[in-house]
Amino acid sequence: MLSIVSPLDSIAQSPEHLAVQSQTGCRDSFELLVEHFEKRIFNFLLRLVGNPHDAEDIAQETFVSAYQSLARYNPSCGFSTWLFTIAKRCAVNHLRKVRRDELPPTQNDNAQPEAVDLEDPSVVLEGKDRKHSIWDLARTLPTKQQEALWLHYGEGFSVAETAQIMGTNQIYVKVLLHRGRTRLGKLLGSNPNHQ
Amino acid sequence: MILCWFIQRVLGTASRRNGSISPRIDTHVASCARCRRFQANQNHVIQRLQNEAEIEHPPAPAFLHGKIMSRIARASIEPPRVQHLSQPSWAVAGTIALACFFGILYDWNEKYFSKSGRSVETLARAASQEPPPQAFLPIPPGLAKAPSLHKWTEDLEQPLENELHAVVSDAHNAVLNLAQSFLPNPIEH
Repeated sequence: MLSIVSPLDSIAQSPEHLAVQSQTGCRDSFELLVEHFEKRIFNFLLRLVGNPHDAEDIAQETFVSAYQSLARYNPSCGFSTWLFTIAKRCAVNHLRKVRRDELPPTQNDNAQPEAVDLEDPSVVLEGKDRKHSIWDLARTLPTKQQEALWLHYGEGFSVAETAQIMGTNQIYVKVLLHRGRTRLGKLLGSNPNHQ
Repeated sequence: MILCWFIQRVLGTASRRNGSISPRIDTHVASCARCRRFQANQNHVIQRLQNEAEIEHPPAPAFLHGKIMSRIARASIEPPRVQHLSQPSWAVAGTIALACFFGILYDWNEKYFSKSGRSVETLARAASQEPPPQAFLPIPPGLAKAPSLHKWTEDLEQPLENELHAVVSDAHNAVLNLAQSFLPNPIEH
């Protein structure tokens, strides 16, 4: 298909504009969107599922779903919020499938996917090689708190956008952020490696 | 103590992107060491979360971009285009809806305003048997007999009837034109 705008021109364009061009069938514009968002989506999914291979698969699924659903995208809303919402749904579907396939029915649904164990010797040794990040501590928090903290502070989404992606309301997101920050503050105080 | 608990909840959940939340809270925080420590701790955590987020963005797998684009190309997926009113499916649906509407209108008109005058005659007969409601519609004394009343009613309704027939005729012509111009030809076997 003949692209109306060359890729170099499109780099300066907003994701929303590129999405509108993609809606008309311009695959080059969508390729630019993939290039722009693949890293962020992969990292977000890696936090949700905890496994790079699964995160890669779900990232592919996310972009394919987004491409197929482009007609339903409303340009007045942020494209990144819309894309992250799709990624979140894909991850939830994946986790639901994995839990159904692998875990016994009595397993607690709130179990965190491969949260980093700070007492694990391998993690301790690995941690000596690099500066300790507060995000390592954040991995010990409940999944929803991690997710809210990452979307708000890691990805820079507003509380309203975070709530939209998580499929909840703003008040709950604020509560999650407050609990997460308070817990992290306590963990920082009790953990000298992360001071 | 309760006030501190409340202030800390407000500090924790309120958005502080625009600076101060409220002068009362600022005054309390300035005078309370406990709340000041809480706020400083929160600010420290927020700052570290924002600053250290960058190192938490490892690069995406090497071939992720290629895999995504090849998956899209391999499946030869075309995004469903946004549908506009100018597209044929909408035009056909609109034509059918219009035809139904005018059909109902025409049928209704035939039923209640047909030239047979059956309903008008029935009304006239009933009117001749019952005393007319003098308070609302004084009927001239010369129209007491049924044929005179019938003629008087017809004369009274004639302009409205003509107008309705003109509207229905126009609508009928419009539907025929639409059907001839936009509806697909029947498939010949």
